[in-house]
Amino acid sequence: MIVSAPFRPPAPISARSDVAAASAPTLAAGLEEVCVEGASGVAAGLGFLLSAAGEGPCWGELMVAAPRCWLRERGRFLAGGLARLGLGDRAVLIVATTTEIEALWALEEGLRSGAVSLAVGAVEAASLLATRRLDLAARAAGATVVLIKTRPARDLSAARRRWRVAPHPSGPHPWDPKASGSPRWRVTLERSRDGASGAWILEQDLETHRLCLVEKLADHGVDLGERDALALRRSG
Amino acid sequence: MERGPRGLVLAALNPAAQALGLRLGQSHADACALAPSLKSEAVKPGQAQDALRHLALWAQRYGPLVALDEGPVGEGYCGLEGLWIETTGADHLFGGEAALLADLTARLARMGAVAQVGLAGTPGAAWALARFAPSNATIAPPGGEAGALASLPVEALRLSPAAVQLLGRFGVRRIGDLYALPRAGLARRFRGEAGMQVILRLDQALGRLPEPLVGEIAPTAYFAHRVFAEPILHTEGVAQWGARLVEELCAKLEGEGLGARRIVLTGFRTDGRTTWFSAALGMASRDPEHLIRLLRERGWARLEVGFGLDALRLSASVTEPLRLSQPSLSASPGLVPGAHGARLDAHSAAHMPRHGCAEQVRARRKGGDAQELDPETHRAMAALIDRLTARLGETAVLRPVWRESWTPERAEGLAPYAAAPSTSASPQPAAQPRPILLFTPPEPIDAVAELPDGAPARFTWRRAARRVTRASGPERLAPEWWRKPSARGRPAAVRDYYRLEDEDGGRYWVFREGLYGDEDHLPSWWMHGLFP
Repeated sequence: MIVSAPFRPPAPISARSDVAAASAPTLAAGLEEVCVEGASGVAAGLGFLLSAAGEGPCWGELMVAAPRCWLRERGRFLAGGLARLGLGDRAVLIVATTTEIEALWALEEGLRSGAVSLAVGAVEAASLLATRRLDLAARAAGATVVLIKTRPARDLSAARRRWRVAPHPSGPHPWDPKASGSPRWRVTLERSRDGASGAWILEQDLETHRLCLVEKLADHGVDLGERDALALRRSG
Repeated sequence: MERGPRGLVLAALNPAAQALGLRLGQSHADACALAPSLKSEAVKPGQAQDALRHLALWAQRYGPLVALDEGPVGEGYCGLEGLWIETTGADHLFGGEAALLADLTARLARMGAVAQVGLAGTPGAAWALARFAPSNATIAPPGGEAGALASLPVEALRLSPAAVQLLGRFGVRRIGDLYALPRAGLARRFRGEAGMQVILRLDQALGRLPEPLVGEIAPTAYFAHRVFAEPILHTEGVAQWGARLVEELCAKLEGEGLGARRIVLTGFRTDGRTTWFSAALGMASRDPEHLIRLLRERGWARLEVGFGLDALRLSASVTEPLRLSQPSLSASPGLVPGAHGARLDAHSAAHMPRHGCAEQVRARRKGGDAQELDPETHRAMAALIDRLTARLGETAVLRPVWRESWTPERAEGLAPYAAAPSTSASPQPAAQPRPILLFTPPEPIDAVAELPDGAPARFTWRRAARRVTRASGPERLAPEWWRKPSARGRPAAVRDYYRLEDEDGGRYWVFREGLYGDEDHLPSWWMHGLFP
């Protein structure tokens, strides 16, 4: 059973259960970071951030900036798939650059132009200065900019929050028990300016395009992998 | 003389040289042996064409449409270049056709150019009269082309040397000889390209077939030009003067109610060369700030200053009418600095939100989150596309485009944002969900299926083995047989697409190409995309 009530307090699976968000997390104006692992992780991260951003205002266009080598390795964006995440028929602007520096420049230009409300960048190595500039530009425009990272960051970052997203076995399909249903992701808020943190299993409702929390004991239950359990024991 | 494959050859001759028996294409050494006092000069490539183009622009005083006749390239056409001037409806302004020709010849003679002219109802007949008529300035009466051409040699029909030789072999030397021959027999006898050319050129000259003329277009009229007493030696100087030229140009465009779609900055160097670069705009604009920014991002340094620039010219090579647009009423009047009526609107038409008005832009956005972009955002988007394209190149700024196809990688492609039609060709909703990331080309995987034509139970992709927990499919997509086979050399086969999920929750889109039971081609498995 899936309880999809946004009013319910979430079931944080992290050790620090004292800080819990009121409902499914959303993205705010400013710079956010989404850390993922592996090829399917990139898709999960994109799925999470686009559905989370879909809840916010969408006055402008969606812009994606990535180096060409990233697009070749990770796959190119398919608008037919993006539309399924609740972006409607908003135009997508895809900027395929040669270097990461150019991608960062394109992101900043997009934010400063006042036409882009959500910018997604596939940039692995961004300096503190570059992230700070992005954050300032995004907040001045009231837009959200998200950097997707597949490698552990070496530099400091000025991001407001850092999320870690991993795919999670999907919900049941209403008609076919063998098929996958609504996508689910395991989302951890690792770092945040205001000190909040938490971990959720989120599901995307394919009809209303909203993110909702998956009840702890529902369906699969919260199935902590060994690694997570270890991490909990260490931090606890 | 020009550089040929075997040394220098003669490329053009004056009458005196022709009288000496020199001919075109003769080697320079032979010519010097014949006439030791020969004076020769090197021909620059394109020099004659440029001169002809200038002459064409000048000749627009005689008619609205002037076409160049440069002839086929590299076929010894030299010396036969010319111009076509469409004088229909314009000759009475000069006092009749004869007076027009006299005026044209006189003016050209004053410029030092000897011209042969002819006038007829069709371009082909005029061409023949100008070059082969016994007297200069021959005029064919309306409908009398056949009579006027009858005594001219067949070369006057603009035939290739092969066709002329062919006709000569049959004893046809005059155009009049061709009239007597039956057309069907003519076409049959002169089979092949040469024969068809004879019929075509004859029909064109006599007006039985139309021959449209393509006019030479006048250069842009919108430019700002500045000559300097002391040459500019640094890029900083180019930037400074370039900005002033932009303002001058924008003022000119505003007076005409136009906006630039493409601007070209040309520098005239002290050594007589020119250097230039251009910037294209996605949406017509005459906002100086935007144009300056665009040029700056293209890079002022693209002008090679060299030993200095004597003059700078900024021209709007492509212009479009720029409608005045009214800012929405909900926007407060202080949105644009300065306030006087239409002028204010004209400025805001090419305005992008600057830092000063970010507050108002945001206030307007909060009003509604309608999917439709408001015009202000639309303009900001066009400005953004311009800047990105100027710096990163046209192939870097892309948008999805949809085609009528059911091969997934074909159905949705990427096209340059500026070039793609702005009317949104909406995606055809596929019956089955589509992935968010697509691999083009698909990547091969090793898959093991429980049943020969079922979904895989395990697969290895990028050297990692994955166990499938859930699967749905197949979605069968037949190959589009009307297209050429793919580059892989094998005929396109049926694809069965499956959506798979592995133990970790990764969701994949794989397909099997080909069917079991086909002995020639074993089916193969491919990874094509990832679901969120």
